[in-house]
Amino acid sequence: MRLSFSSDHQGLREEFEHVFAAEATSARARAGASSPEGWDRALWRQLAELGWLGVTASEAHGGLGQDPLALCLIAEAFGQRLAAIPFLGAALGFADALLTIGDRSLSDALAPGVVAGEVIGALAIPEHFTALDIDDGHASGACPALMDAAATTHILTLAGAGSDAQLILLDVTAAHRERIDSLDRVNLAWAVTFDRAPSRTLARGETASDLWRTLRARYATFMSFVQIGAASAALDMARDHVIQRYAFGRPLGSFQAVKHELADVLAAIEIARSNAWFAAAALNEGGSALAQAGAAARVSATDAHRLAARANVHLHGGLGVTAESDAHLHYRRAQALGLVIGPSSVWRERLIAELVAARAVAPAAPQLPRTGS
Amino acid sequence: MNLNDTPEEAAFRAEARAWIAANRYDERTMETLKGLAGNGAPLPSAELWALAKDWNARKYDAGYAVLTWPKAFGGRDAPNLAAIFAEEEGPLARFQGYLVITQFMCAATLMAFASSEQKAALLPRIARADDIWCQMFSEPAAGSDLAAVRTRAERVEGGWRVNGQKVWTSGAHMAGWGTLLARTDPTTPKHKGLTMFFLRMDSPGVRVRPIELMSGEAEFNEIFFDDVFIPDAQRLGEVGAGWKAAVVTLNSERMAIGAMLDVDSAALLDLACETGAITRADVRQTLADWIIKERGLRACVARQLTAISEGRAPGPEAATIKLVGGVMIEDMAAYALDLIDGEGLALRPGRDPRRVYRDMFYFGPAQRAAGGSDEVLKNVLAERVLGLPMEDRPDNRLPFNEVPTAPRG
Repeated sequence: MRLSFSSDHQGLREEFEHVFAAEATSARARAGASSPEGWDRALWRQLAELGWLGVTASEAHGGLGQDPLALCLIAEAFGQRLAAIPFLGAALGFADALLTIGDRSLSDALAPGVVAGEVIGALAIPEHFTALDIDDGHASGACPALMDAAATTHILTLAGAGSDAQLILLDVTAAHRERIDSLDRVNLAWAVTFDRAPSRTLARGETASDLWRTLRARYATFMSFVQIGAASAALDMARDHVIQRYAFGRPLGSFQAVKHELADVLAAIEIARSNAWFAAAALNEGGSALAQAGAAARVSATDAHRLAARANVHLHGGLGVTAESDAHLHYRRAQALGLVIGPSSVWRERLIAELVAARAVAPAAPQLPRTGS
Repeated sequence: MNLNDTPEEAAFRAEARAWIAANRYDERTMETLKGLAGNGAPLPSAELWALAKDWNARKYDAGYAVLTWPKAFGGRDAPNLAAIFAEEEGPLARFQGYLVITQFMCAATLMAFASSEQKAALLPRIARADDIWCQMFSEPAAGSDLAAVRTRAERVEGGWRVNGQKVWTSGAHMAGWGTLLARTDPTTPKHKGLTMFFLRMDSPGVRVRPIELMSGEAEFNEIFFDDVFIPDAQRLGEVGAGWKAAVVTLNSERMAIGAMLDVDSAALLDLACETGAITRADVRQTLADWIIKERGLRACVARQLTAISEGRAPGPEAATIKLVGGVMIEDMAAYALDLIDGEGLALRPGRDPRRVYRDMFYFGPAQRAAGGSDEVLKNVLAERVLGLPMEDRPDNRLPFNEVPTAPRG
């Protein structure tokens, strides 16, 4: 087993970072989120012009034609900054799904729009819908809280279960959307309702459920890189603060109590990074290892991100709980990203269910001799 | 990024698998060995040491020992092949744990500092584990603060006279040889007055006393030095450069880190399936967390091996693995003992899974202290990786014999 990213992948990431770090400042993120539109359309266009919305899309579709490993590192670099753009759902989840579904006519129709930033897709888990009725090429329903949905044009989701399952693509360009009080202050959630939105069924039954599970695990893997990037950003912010902040005549960061809190954060990030790299390798190879690897990456990354964000707020003292400091933006984001494709408890259960099933051991009556009674 | 073997690795794996199948011990012994990680009662320590040496000798004779060593010393310079061999060994891989200090730490120090005649005489016997070595570092007043060792080596005609005491020395009761970190100049700051030596453990004046641990085992020892003579030819490195040599010893441990990872969440999952506890939602969530952490640790080992094989300096992986793995041993052991049976305070004779988790329960605290305590590792991560400022350390600038050792007044 080899776990390392090539220098080509790292070079591409640096190229992205070079542009993104200069543009994606927290001031701009705040301004974008509180603008009337609720997001930063100008930054989105800028990334589209440079090709960064189509990292893995083919060159024929206007993309960069890179492999998913490149997208993992771009995801991490994206996570390191705050930006009010729908990168997560559109450039990671949806863009990857289009390629993975492998329907030529579908990707020919939509991929060029994704690369150009005009098709803004989202992967919504079934739990996101309070209602979803599909009828003859149309769907009506509601998502009471969908992240980054200010300008979402398409939603990919799984409707129904078992033999009734359908993988569906909704065109929600005309949907009604309303800004709600979001947990994340930068990547806002919107209530989306749609009435007779065009709906296309991409797969049915077991095929649909299997495909959905793959798409979800891939999205979880990319998301784990975003979370690791975000966790590192929170850790860096905390570190910079405790180095320059003095108390009791010495830097805060020279106290072991502070060092140890941040060392725990670093260790959690390294465990998460290791799980994410393994999942990236599994994703890239396309085998069955991804189901467990994606779940592990997801849970680990959520843990690390939340731990980092919480330590950052805490080590900033009173400043950490103010609206002025960026610390709360990381804190709120960490909680929100841990929910976007379902909470950790669900992913843990998926992992354990897989492992128990693989053992082909039905949980039976206790076999060990028992003491007492 | 690649989860699979390269063609060369796949060929080696097939070859290793066939050789292990043909050379491993009979079923009854293998079954008992699984007790180290599985369900049986453990063998007595002396038998395990004898088996560890025997298994290594078989490997050596077939060319499978010390695969990580440089080619110049008979190895293959191949940490990836060593990892593959260990995967194929199964329960037999546990024997490497007995030989880490001999074949990694002491051997690396000899490779770096011994004369070519010494290397030619000593290393092949180490590679075959004909000789067991111990590493005499910690003392009653120098554990985490290793550079504070006080065992004194004074110059005499032709060599050095050593007096003092070492403690927590793993395997010294089995060792024929050992490396020794001693103070040769107490009047300079602590890191500068140290020198590294090696000696035979049957040298006159050396006394080894095993220390009984909470588990009842006695793998650690106290060692007393009473006017022990060491020839100057057995000095490793320059006089006063002992700290540098100690760092070589400690860094070599990272090559063995995979062999040191002592958590097995799959066994815990088996146990939960066997007892039926797996139907409980809280058990499923807790086990999933450990499985995920263990997967992270193993991937961390793979990242580190990859970095080494690509000639890059590994990052914070080694400290992370030790820090996270150590606490996990304690947590998993305590959880398993609760899970098996809330009433089961006593061991049953024969096969009883409590035995394994009790051993883990007793071993966890030692693991968290040995080879860099949790607190030292956290300081390392915070200072060397994150760049947080060191605390004011008067002991780094004072002559060693003026460093405070007790409350004033």
